[in-house]
Amino acid sequence: MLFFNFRRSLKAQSDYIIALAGNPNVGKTTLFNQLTGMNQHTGNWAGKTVTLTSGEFEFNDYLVKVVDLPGSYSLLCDSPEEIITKDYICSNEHNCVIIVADATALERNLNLVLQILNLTSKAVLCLNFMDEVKKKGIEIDSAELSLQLGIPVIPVSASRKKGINELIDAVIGVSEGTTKTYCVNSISDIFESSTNDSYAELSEKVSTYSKHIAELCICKKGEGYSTLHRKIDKLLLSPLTSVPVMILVFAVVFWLTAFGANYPGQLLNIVFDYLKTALLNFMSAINIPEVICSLLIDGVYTTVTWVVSVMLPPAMIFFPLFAILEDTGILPRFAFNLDRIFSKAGSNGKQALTMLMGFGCNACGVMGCRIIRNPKERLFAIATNSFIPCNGRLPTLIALISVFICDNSKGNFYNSLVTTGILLLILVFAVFVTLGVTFVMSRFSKSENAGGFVLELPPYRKPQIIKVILLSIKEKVLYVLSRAVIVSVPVGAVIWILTNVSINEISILNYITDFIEPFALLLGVDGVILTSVFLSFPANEILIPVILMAYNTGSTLTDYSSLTELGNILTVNGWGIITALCTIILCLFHFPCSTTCLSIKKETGSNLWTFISIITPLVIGFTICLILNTIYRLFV
Amino acid sequence: MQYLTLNQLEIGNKGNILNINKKCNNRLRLLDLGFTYNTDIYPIWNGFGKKITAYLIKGTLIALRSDEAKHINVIQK
Repeated sequence: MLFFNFRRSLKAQSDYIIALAGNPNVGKTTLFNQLTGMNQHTGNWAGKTVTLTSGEFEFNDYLVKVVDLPGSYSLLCDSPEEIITKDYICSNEHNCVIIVADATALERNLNLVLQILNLTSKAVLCLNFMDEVKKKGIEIDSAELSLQLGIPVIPVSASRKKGINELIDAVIGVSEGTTKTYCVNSISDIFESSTNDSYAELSEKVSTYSKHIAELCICKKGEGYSTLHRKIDKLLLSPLTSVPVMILVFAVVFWLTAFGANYPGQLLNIVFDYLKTALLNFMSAINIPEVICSLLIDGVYTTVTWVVSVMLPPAMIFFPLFAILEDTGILPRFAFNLDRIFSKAGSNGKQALTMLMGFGCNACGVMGCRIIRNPKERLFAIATNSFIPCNGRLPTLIALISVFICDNSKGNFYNSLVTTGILLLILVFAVFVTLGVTFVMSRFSKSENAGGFVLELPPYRKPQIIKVILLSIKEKVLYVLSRAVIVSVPVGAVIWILTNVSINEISILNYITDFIEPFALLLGVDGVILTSVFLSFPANEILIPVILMAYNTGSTLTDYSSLTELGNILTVNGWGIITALCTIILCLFHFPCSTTCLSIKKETGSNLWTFISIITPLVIGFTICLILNTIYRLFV
Repeated sequence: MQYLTLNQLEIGNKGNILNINKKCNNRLRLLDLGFTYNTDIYPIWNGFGKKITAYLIKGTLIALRSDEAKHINVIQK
């Protein structure tokens, strides 16, 4: 009796455990989100889920745990995703497997279905994207398919929440045992008779059988590749229009990110200033010593609020935009177009997409490099990701361009276009440097071309805009915001100490800037700028504020209320066009920020490559500055 | 009936896959993706310099570089 109760209470944790398996990009994670209400990120790309996630839901008093397995094309291969999937399915932990299939590409999906059915017959086939099936004029005989496979087949449209209840019913039925599934002999025969077969022969047998089932169950084939999709692809892929369209999309994204952030940024500043006065009043009211007050407010609070007001508005624009692009399926087309250039550099088109992610946040870009299968190419992409300026560096670049290159007498809108144009040039330069460095790295590391490059171009799907925006905010924006805050707190304290603690009437910061001044002058900048570059290791956003603070010999990060004011302060301190240029170069190429370094260490697991990622941009930045400055001094 | 390698198959033509040369690094992965014997394949889009091509196979668009495609033997009907 006691034993029975004990077991029951263990199981009361969850009544049933179900696994979600299927090809990449079939809507497994969307289905997972629908079932569990958890928000895991999806993107219209093959290969996004690389870890096992699990969630739960309740249905008619049952508590069901769902495990989202990584997408795999087959279980015969030895890649990590496929091993995890195979091991989990073979284990006794789950009660039922939901095999999610893209109903618009049923034949290809049947490959994995048959392999899973060879391992377990406690399964349910979920035919997803039924809404698209209808649009394409395809007709599938689910009853016949169910007969052929020996398991229930449920048509579903996960994004439209249709068929989910029927799916859960079937799953509970199979888990309980009330719905009978059976092992189809012809399927197990394929695998039994193949023990001596090579991979190719087995693949072929499975493929032939999939074709056979598909022919029996697909009544109307419909258009494999619809006219509308063809037209869009023609725009995005044909040599004439592909490059202009890509540039246009990139330019719009950059312009929106760089300038759409202005007003929200100003708003945030007003709010933070108000809070600052309130905090100061509160602190003096409770008699906190002035030194502590200054450390906390002038140091920590000012730094944190500066960083947040600089990085949050662009992040809130860029990440949702990127997520929408990703969801529609456009991004793989860009990878297709750019593959030529990147393969010449020793990498592949997907690196372009990791660089685009890096534009939002280099740490996210580094994590995004998982989409590159080839391990060496992945390392190159990770190491060079920080060459692309992230959202945090954008305002610095824009401010410097506006002050020193733009003509501020013309209107704001005109200036914003000019600045975007110059920003684009800078970005193109950064891309070229990335390609060059990748090329050099690929020459130096002797690797056979394992992995190769196979790119799936998924069908265009309408993104669920609101959902995507909310998800991206929750996932990416909150992540970068939290790292910004966590990192800025100690940095604020350190900067306060450096500027407020003096030895012989000279602050520690001034000692440092004077010490490295000779070296800095060689690079076309001055000691203050170079020190600020190093101090921006925790968070790139603080570069200009630290510079201003050091110049003003002030005790707190200084804001500038207008670009003219910024220009004045800098010019008074000896800035010329060459200083601005070299500072821009150093801003682009110094070292990855602390969060990115952590990501690099985590993703590569290698101290060597983390070191390479830190040193390479630094050396390049210093070299370019040295060259520029020498040329300027000699000829101007 | 013509025997070709996949990279030689022109856009607009229909090919039927015979096998994949063992020299191909991606062979197993391609087999998993459906590049098996007697599968129809249609080249649809060429990238710059024809170094990469998008193929329609089993209802999906998959892009391969010509370096990979040259290892796949097809029959053109």
